[in-house]
Amino acid sequence: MKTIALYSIKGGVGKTATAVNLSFLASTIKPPVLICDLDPQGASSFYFRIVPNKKYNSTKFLKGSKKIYDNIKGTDFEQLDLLPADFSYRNLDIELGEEKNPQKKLKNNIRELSTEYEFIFFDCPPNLTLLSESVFAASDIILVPLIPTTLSLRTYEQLVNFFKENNLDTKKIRPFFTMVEQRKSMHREIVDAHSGKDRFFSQSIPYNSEIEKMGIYRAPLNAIHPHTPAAVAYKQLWNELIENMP
Amino acid sequence: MVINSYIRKNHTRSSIVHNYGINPGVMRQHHQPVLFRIRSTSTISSLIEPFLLKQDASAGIEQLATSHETVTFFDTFESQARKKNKGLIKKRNRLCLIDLKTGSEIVCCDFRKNPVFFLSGETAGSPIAPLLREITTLRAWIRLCSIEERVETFKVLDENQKTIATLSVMLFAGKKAASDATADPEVIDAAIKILPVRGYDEKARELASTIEASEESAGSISFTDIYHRILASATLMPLHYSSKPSAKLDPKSDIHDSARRLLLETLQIMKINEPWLTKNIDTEFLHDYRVAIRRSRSILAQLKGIFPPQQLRYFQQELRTLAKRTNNLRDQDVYLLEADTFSNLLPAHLRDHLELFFNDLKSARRSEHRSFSRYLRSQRHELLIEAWESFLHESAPPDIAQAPNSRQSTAAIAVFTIRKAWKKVLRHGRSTSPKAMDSELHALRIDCKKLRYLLEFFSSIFPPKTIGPVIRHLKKLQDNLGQFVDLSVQQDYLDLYLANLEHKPDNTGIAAAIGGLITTLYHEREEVRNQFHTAFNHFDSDESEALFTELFHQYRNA
Repeated sequence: MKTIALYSIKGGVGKTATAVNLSFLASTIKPPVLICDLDPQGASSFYFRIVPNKKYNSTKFLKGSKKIYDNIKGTDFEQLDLLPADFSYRNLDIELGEEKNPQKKLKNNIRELSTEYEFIFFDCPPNLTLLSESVFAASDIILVPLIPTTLSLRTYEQLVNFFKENNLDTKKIRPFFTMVEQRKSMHREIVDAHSGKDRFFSQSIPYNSEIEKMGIYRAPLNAIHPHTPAAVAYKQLWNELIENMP
Repeated sequence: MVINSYIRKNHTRSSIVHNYGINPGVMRQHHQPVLFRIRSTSTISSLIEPFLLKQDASAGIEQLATSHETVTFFDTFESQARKKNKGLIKKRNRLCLIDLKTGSEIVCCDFRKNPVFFLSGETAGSPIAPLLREITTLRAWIRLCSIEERVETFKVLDENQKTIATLSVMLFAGKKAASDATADPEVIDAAIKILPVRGYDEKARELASTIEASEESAGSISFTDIYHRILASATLMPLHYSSKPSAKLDPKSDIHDSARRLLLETLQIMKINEPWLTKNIDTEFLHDYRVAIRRSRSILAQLKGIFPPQQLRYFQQELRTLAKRTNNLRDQDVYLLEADTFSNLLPAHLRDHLELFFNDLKSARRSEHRSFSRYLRSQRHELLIEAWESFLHESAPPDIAQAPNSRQSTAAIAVFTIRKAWKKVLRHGRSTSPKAMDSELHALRIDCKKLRYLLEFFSSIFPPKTIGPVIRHLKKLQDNLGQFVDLSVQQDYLDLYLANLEHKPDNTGIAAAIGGLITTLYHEREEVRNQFHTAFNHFDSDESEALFTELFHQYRNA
């Protein structure tokens, strides 16, 4: 089993869209796949039309295996399951703080799922908290979507510095560009300067209104319009990711 | 509420999901489908309406797919797949092993042929091969029947338009007769399958119980129930074949009656196998046929004074001839079955030469099979089977002067003959020289077989707990002896082949290969010979004796 986190300190950079599409692609190539929605806004749950069970909450999530297991739901795609986020997840950080070893918590909680899934994706909320640290420890790869702007690059550097200061493995961090608009010269320049260099993937995801429409038809873009430029880009990003899998 | 408004055909999402997502036939373990038998006239609307009436107005169903396919079922003559709760089907160009309880596919592979029968080995290299081989390597998969299957699959959506289960309405019908294409084929069965999506079990249970409670449903079933109906309506193959007679004997009834019943049953086994073995499907038809002949002959020889001897002589002679006529064929079968093993015994550079040997063998087998099949159709053979059958049907007890033991009880004769055969095995085994000569082992093997047939013949009058261990003990000794004799026969055959090989340079390679085999088989045989005394001592033990004594004890007063 491999674990892949979609993480960014900034919001609105295409984390959920990437998690939804990559997990779908993974499920068609190397099934089965689980996507863990960790964001209390529940965007990836929404994309798959899944509502958590009424009794499900952050406390159950922290209890681990059995409680997690019972609350996993099948998406409309045979080999793709989802652990929905509950609004109570907004308290996850506080509750994590009361745990003995919060950084290791997530890693231990999903251990039992490792026999069942080939891939687990974490769709993370946009901040840098105890939960994020727990995700960092539990993930084999941390995918960081970046809009090609200076401000985005700055948050990326902050993340790398945070890893260095806390003696975390910076090799896990793999950034790539999203919402790239070729007509903007700054986008072009930043993408040219970084893509394929350092830890950056060379594939980037173009800005595409179809991605935004996922909120209307509530299914992965790669399932519905696999030939749109953004879907093709996700496919190639997935291929690049697989080739570079640790 | 208009039901049809729930069914949104041609909805964009349905085509999406159809392309990528839910395949109703393939599922992971936590999704257990539920099946209900329904009326063949049931429609999706009539089935789903009671459930949807209780749901939020935005819940509904959506058509996912429809299919209409010919399904061909396969199994072996002994129904080995069915006995393991599995089925082998061919649908379109795919061969699938299915779980009979749920009807779901376990593994599938591409299969573009349409054979009447095939061996597991013919699927080699495909993902299905190891599973088929696990069920059988010797027996052929034979086409049982073909039927028409219509499936309409729907998604059941909750108020968020999220799929909570898939529903398949299935109709099974016979094939249209070629002679009357206008007539509708007969409906065999109809069912609905509910497959819950993970995490939505509660809703799916509600759906299932609503459907079960409706008038459309004839209750919960497994796919096995459907399968039985299909087989009952469409197959010509026997569904409960066993190579062993299974009649339950009464220990108190006359041995003449019991012997007739068992011999008749054994004759039936011969008759069932005859038409199939001429079709050259697999080697087990001939094997079972030979065992049935041997069983009959062995019993006739051992149960003395039960049938009038003059009449018996004809049958004994004819059965002996019949058995003899199958010997070559069986030997050739065994060689061909062992072809791979033989090849692997040789170093790589000698293997190719064996091909010539096997090709000779195959052509010899072809002609042997032709001639034996012809013999089975001959008047002489027909006469034997008819006469044997009517002789065994003759229930009037024979003249006591001619058959003095015929009115003895089954139990008395069983104990007497088994004890006698057992003592004989012990006597001959104990007198076997330390070197265990060929002739001694050959003779002892036959003694053991006789004992085995008696034990099996009369097994129904003994409790399984006592007869089971006795047979198991004997079987271990028989395995050793059987292996020894098989290896000897194989060597003899190779010796003969070598002796008849023309002396020309082209034949050096094949001579070397055969020579290599003889040497290897010789060493193997000597190893088996060395193990003989250990095997025999295990049989000639206090433990074994106690088992036999317990067996006889039950009928000490018979």
